[in-house]
Amino acid sequence: MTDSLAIRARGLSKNFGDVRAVAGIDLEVRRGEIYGFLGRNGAGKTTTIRMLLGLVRPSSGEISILGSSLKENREGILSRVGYFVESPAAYPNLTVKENLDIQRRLTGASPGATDEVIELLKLGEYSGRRAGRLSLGNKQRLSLARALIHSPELLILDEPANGLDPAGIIEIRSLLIRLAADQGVTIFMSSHLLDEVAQLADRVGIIHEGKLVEEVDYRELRELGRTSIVIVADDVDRAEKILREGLGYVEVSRPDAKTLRVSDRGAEPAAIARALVGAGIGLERLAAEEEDLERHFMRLTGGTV
Amino acid sequence: MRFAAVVYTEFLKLRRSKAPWITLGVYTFMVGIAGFFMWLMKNPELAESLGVFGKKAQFAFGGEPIDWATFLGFIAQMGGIGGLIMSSVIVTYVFGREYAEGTAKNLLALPVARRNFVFAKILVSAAWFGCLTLYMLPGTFIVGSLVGIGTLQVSLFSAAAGRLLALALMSLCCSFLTAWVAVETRGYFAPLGYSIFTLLLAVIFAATGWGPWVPWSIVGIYSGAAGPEATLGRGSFLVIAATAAAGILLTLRHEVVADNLQ
Repeated sequence: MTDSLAIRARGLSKNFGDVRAVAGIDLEVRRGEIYGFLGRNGAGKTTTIRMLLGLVRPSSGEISILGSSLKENREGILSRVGYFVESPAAYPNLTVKENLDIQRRLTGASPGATDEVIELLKLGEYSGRRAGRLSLGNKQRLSLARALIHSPELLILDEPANGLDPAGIIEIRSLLIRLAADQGVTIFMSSHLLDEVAQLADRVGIIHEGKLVEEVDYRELRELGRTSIVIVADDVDRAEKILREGLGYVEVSRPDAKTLRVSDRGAEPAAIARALVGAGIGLERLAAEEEDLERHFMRLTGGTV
Repeated sequence: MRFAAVVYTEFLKLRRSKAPWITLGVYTFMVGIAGFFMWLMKNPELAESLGVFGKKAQFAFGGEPIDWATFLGFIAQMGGIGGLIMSSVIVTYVFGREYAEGTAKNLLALPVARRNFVFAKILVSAAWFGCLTLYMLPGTFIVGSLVGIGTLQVSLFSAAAGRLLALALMSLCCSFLTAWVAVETRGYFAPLGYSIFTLLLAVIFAATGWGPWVPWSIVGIYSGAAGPEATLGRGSFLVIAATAAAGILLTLRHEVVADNLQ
């Protein structure tokens, strides 16, 4: 069972003084899958990624990567992991090629690996340029090249599309899909770009206030086609009361002052319309909307759409 | 095997940097200014006409005879006090830049034992500072000869060279605590502030008679800056060794164990 997992975390927590950044996460990422890790700013994404890379020590819990305990075999594991943490960073005085050559030597990659990743990430025309003079997008490419230079089995990427232009995002997306499909590379990526994750990920984990609130098979989510009912009424307070007390709905949120959203499974628009109109509430709009990842994410993390 | 790769990459980073050239310029200036003062002392009428420069030169040499012993003594003092500052600047740059440039997180997640990075950086700092110190030796000889101090005895020069190298080693030993401050505070400013603070401590403790037990004062005393009557015992050298060990162990502890939150 464990061998089929690229990442396995059990009860992973991290406290910074009184602040609990990560609170008992259980995480399982299967080999060969693309796992999207979603969360708002400060939800605990980067702290989790840092713990997976051994940059931050967990306050409690265990991490196993590619079948080995991170605590017991840090260097052995990291030789099989490519990573990219938060903002792109490189030695500004060194050229692109020199930066990659440093990475190649320190990861024990073959001598030809530098040229290969330069070609793969389309950095050829910049290979002699100092990293400090690169655009943000090309710095991002350089960071991805660093992550890939030793042909890792697992890629841990924190916001890999940051700073890339639309064409760059598409290129990187294709590259990651190819790596997962053709070479079986497991990809664990955090992102704030919901659409990007939706297009890439096989599964999505949603972290909120340090807790993994849900893991969704994204294909399942699409197939589920879960709907929510949006109501714009002239008396939302009374309408909410009827929905909760009269119809017994639980997942009722208020995206704005005039709107209610009912996300309970099985909520029926006709029953809602009857109940509200019967109570003399004026309806401006009542519509069923299919829930996409964005709505799902916002609903789970307490936001509004 | 990987240690060799780490050392190579540390030297590559240094080779592409302007910092070594800047420090070379500072040491050239130091030797040059010492020679200039000697030249003024040799030409008192010129010193008189230059006013403030002349007074500074008199202050620096304080009525000592204008010979190689005086010049080499002054160079040793510069090497001692200047070396304390320079070695701290060097380790601050070598250790602090990884945090200032945001590359520490990349480095510490590499499949390499983290102690290798600490030892490689110490090696590079020592090589850099050692080269600067060695550069002072022929520089001193050339400048002293140009000033026309007189004939230099080999024994005098080799004794001065030995003293300068010993001072460099002592300064380097003191600087490892600065490396720890750099990694702990993740940048340049705190370690540089700390270095200035240690120099103040050195002056205060030397003035109160506790100098032989305070590492930074010990370097100053050994350089002759506290006067010929100030002496050091074996305990002082143990203090220097303990300071180096503390600096290395604290830096290692931080890099190996502490959370990287950059």
